[in-house]
Amino acid sequence: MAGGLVITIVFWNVAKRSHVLSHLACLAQSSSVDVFLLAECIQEISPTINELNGLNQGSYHDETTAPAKVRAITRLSRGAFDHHYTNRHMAIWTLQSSKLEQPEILVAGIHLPSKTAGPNDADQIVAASDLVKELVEIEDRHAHRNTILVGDFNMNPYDDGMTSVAGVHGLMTKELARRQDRRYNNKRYRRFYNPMWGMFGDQTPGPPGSYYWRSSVLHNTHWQMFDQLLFRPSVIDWFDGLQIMEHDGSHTLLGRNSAPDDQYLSDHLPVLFRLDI
Amino acid sequence: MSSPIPNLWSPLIRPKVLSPRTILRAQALELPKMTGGLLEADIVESQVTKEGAEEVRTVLSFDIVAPSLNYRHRILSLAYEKDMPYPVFVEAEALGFRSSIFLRAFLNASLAPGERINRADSDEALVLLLKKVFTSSEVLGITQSIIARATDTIEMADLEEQSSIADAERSEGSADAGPGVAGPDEE
Repeated sequence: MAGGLVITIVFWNVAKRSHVLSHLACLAQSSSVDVFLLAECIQEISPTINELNGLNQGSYHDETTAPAKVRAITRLSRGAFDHHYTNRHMAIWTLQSSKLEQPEILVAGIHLPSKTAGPNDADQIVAASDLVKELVEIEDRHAHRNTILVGDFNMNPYDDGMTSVAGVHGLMTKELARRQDRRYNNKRYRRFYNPMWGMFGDQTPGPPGSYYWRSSVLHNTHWQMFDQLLFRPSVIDWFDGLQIMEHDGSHTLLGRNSAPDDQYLSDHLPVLFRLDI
Repeated sequence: MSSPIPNLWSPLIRPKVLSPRTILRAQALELPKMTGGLLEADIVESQVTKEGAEEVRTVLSFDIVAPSLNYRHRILSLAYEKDMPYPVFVEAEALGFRSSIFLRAFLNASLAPGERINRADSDEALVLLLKKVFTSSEVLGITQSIIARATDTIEMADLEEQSSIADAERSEGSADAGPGVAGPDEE
């Protein structure tokens, strides 16, 4: 792979709806997407791949070796972007990079269980903790920490499972994330930078969150940021932009209340980010 | 005449008891045999200290590995008190989401008595639990997919090798047919 390449990755929970996938071609065309990471994806994706290839913007293929919670469609060649690892809640791909000392980035696609499926806050911390434990094991096996997490965590950036040292340990500024591993109870905990903190509300461009919760409960922030992107400090410098997509270039992805169109599309909005590698 | 005193011990107490590691290792050895070496298995061991306590728990994870794809798929983890292999708790997709909660509960805190989901108190019970996982549709789908992809990759590599050998032979042939060989016009 040549130096100075910008890679565009989109994560989207497509809510097991086949017609959501027809929007991938529009996203690919308008945003030059190299990799789609899809949660809750239906089994049959060859029509989508045919549509993507009909754009004549590269040869897209399914880069998923075995059933996984997150699936990848990419136009990057095998060798440049390879499915490498799967467990119950994540799938990891290796992305080759010319800029890093260790010429590889681990891109982990995540889908953690939703509270509506039974787990409570404590269960979510458990799931996050298990996830990070396995991630650290893989980083150690690869002898680097060039890791990016992206996915539907079914938690907000401020939830305990996302911020706790025992969970994902995602921090709201680059400065906090770049500090040394945090020491707690004689154990060291690696940090993540979570740029989704800066995407909340209406003071930034784009939608106020990635998911809208329609409920009459007393405590409801309405917009949630379940779909998140996190970087280890060693890859922060290659982060080249982030957007929550409300439009695919040709169609809106929003429905009533200017929230994700959960009636016809997905209850989640896609998250697009770029890496200058 | 008084009746004989019955044996009150559990019938599971026998001269030989298999450890979780031995049972997993046996399954790991089977996989390359069954797949002609396409798939291997790796048992990853870690020690976890219970939060705020001294007790250490051993966690064994079972990964299916496809060397030709540089790919690894974790299908289960189990945990037990260090140096005390039973009871053991198994976590796997095939045993449902709650299995990971109960495994973590065991790692971090005491389990309430009666929480027997995915708990095995003996090697026989563990074999039954693991059989449920290894024969599950989830694990079958995973192994089939990896084998199919590994086969494709190897076949593609073989084709590329054959075509590069053919290219090399062709170029050698054309070099041989170079200046020293008389063409029809030179006859």
